[in-house]
Amino acid sequence: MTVIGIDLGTTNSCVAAVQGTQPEVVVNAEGERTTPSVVAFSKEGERLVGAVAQRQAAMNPQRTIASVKRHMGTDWRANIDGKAFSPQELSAMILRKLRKDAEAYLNQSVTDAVITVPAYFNDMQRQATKDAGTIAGLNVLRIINEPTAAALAYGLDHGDPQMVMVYDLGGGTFDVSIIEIGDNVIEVLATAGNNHLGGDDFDARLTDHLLAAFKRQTGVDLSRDQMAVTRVREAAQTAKRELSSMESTTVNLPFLAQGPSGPLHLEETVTRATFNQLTRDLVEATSAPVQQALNDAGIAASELGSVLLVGGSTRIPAVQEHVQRLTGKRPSSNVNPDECVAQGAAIQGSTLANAASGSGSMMPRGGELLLLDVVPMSFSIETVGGVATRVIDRNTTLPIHYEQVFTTAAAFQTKVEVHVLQGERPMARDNKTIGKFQLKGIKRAPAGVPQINVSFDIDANGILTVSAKDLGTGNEQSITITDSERMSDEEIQAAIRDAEQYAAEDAARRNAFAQRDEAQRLSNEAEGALRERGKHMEKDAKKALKAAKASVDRYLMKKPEKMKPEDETAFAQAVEQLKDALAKA
Amino acid sequence: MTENPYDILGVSRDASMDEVKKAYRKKARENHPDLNPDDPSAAERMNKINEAYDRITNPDKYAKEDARRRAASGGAPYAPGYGGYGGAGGASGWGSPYGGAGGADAGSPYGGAGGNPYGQGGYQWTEVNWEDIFGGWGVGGASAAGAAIHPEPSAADSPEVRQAVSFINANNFTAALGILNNITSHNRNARWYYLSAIANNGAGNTVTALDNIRRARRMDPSNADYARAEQSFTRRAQTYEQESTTRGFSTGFIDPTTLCCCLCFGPTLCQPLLFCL
Repeated sequence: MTVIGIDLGTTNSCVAAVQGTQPEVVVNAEGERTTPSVVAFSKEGERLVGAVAQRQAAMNPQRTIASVKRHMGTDWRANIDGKAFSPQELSAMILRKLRKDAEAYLNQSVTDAVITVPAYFNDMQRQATKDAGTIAGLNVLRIINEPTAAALAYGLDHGDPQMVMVYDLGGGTFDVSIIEIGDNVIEVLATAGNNHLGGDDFDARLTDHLLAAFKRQTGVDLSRDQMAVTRVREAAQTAKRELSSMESTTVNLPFLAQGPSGPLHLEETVTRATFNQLTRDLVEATSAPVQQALNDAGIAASELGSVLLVGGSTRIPAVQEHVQRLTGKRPSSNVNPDECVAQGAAIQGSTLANAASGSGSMMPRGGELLLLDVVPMSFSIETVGGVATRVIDRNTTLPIHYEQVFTTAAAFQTKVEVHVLQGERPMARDNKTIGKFQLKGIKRAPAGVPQINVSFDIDANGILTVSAKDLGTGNEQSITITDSERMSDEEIQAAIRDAEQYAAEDAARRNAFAQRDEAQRLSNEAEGALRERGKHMEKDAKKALKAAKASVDRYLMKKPEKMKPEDETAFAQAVEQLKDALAKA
Repeated sequence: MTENPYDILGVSRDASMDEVKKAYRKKARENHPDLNPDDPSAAERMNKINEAYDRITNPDKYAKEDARRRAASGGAPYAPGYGGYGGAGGASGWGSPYGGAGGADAGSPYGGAGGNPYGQGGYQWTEVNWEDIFGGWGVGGASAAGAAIHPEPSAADSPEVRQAVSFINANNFTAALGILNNITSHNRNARWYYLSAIANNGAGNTVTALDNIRRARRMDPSNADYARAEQSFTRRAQTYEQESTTRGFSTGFIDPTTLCCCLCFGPTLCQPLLFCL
């Protein structure tokens, strides 16, 4: 069965699947190769995903959610009609649509998927992404890093041993990875990044600039008018894209606000130079992670074989120039910045599926690319004085197992709390809490006597499991993750039920819609038949047809939301009768 | 790990780095769980292979841990280990870390903090990184927090490195980093990491600075300059917290003779204290 690769992006998502030997991008229901990562709730409570959601954003800004990826792994919630939606659930809605589009495109049912995340996502953000996949009814075979996926797509055609830098500036995240390709192995040497830097920030700068221009021209401050701001932001996004190929562009937004002497319009010309000036510090902010990744890999930029640009924001000329300045290399144009991540995910999916089936039908056995990825951020534990003591260094190759024996410090101590952190900062409080583990039931003994073996396992997904064993008693102690931001299994199950129930409702709604459509068509047909050949019909048949049409029309007059279940049944019967009557007349 | 990392990768001990890399990739392709999904022991084998490769490529990373393990497996759990942690230029050594309470003793890591850290009543908890207590034993109190470090040029330096040193001493850290970062991988020794640490520190990249100086220390534990620099960087990362108000840490149950390898978990220090063995 085909495994799909999903690039779940901040602003756009993309799906691919390996067909034959090459990854192919799925064309969605709207005929596009990427899908906007936007979810909206219409006034009627209908859930919209993708381009339809994006189109109505300006009219419905409070109930439209974009860039939910920025909130992954946090306790942020979107409150819609009294229900609080988690980032996982909202992402699951996008994933569900992507899955459906893939099924339609591939003409088969799809359950297995590889989903990509920014390399610099921490453990909780990865876990949240995996949970989103589960809620969407997907079997997530693997979470892989976006730059690594891009390198996979590149490495499929460029197998010569070399070191590659992937510079991935997406809608909301920035990643840079140094990757070594050779012997059919893709080995990540180092990775660095910033989870809150991307195209959205460029849009925001230009939006602020346009709002300021409007205020200067008209004296009206639009910043509190959410609908107007949404329109300006959309225009800023378009202008940003145009400035990648043109030296200047004019933003033209008529009827943006109502002034004392009539409607107010925004017309402002933006040059590339102005745009570059507005966003210079954002471009500069990518330098430090690039240097850190090179440092961690222990190489100079001159040792790089090629530089790959990934993510829509790398289309910005100033970004391309900056990368060239940083690396002294002209970035490769061999990958499509919007599609290569999904393609790489599809390749990894195909490798995993082939290994599982043992057939290797897609590629000659042994020809698969093996991906060796790393931990993006160090894992540490809190120790005396609030210090974060490293347990696993960043850029350690996965999978990795590490154990260490601990003992108590205080006499007759029976429990201990282990605070697991992720990050590079020396103090615990500056790092991200991944979980707190309580180990209880330690035998009362003087300090230093009990021996507790704590082991850390990071699987190939980069997800950490911690277990502990009291060597004194031989008891394996149960350890509970008490982190509030992670969804429990029950919560995931509840969310799956929710999503499935909604899918069922959605299907019912669509069926009802199709049924009404069909009824209307039959009613029209009956009317035509009566008009054209009513005179030649048999009296009984004509009477029956008239009656059947009248009864169907009665239900068609009713609003769909007013239909009771018994009405639905009666309606269906009336439609059948009309069909019969039409056939006989 | 008890097995020899070279045996795990199936290469001879004098194998070149290229041979080691080739062998690692071959082993990874044979054993990685991604390519052996039906083999439950594949992940475990891959863990070992990853560790073996890491040990060969980053031997310095494991030196301390191995010494600790050797110490732990020996009969006396603590004493033998100290040899491995002897600080460069260590004046006072293990015996009396708290002896020089006045702060004048160069051997006391608490020297610079002022006052007896374990005295009664509101002492300041200064040196918080135990790892650094081991490492920088003898050099504490040497430099004030944030004081600039001026590396001396060395006869062994290449022209580029010499140039970087003079940029650092001219406080032009960006230019120094520009030169250092262009030095290729084979020419990055402990001194490179030391200079990179100073330049990064000067440029405000404190996390990178700390990483680099630790690397330099691991590559060359006996160099006093590196130890001093590490001490200076960690000092800045320290917090000064009042004893009784926030941490509940009392001297009562801390036995200074076992303090060396104390790992204490959790924010509520009274109860869940742990030592590593």
